[in-house]
Amino acid sequence: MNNLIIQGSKSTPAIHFDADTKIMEITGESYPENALEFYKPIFDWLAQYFEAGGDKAVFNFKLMYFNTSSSKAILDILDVLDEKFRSGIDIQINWMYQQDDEDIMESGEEFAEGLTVPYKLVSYK
Amino acid sequence: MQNFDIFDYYLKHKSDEILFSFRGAVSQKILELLGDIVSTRTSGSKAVSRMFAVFVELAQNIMYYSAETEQGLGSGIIVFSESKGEFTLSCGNIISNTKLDKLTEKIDTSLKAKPDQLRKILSQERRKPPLEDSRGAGIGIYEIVKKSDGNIEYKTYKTDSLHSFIAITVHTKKESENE
Repeated sequence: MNNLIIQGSKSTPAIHFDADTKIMEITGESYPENALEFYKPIFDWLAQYFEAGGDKAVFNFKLMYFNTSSSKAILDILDVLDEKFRSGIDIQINWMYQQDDEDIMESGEEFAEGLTVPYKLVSYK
Repeated sequence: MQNFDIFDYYLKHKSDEILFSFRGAVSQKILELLGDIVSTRTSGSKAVSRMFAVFVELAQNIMYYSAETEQGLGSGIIVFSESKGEFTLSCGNIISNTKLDKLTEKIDTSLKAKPDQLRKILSQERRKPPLEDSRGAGIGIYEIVKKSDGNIEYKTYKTDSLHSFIAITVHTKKESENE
């Protein structure tokens, strides 16, 4: 299983999905021209990862800003992970926000609503 | 461009305290560059830094929904100004009347909603499947109202029987530290 590495840009986050360490990270700012198109490889990779027997995933979201169309994609990723968790896969989600960034923290809280997957809000300096 | 007097234009921009004015197709590159100006000028208090989020949603509204396009990218106008007390961002574009009605209905609904209700609308709309004819989530306008604490106004102008021009203006007070 290949890792999924996408370099970050000004308006797209860095993607670092490691099939060996089972740590998946999305870091940076997200306001691409076309969020559906940008996030598609991520959904495809996740589907493959779980199909290939991926039994664990630690998911770190470390976003500083995201627009509304990205928020929709993020929510869809969370739904995929929640579904996998409910089917017995060991999943941990860490939603990281800069200490005084209430907006990102609040989004993290809001996105967690209705999910059963272990989900932690983590602040950093 | 005949009889264009750049000095007049300069004086007008100066008296209106305009930092930048852009008219044309909004590409991703242009959005990023103009976004840089907005975020550089508005760094500081949280309310003011939310102007960047407002800018992105407004600029992408033009990109996605303008009826005037160049190579698939929506075209419109973005004007950003800074006075002593506040920042103002105005965006305008031609829009089909069908889309206009939906958009103004969304603005009116979100302006009437209390912060809690608005949050609820946003989270419900976010969970709906994507709109067929759009690259956006169709919820940017709710986010703009939320991030600007309702300091938004719009004006429409008829351009022909099927289209209108919509101008959306958002103000942010510089000193505003309260939520």
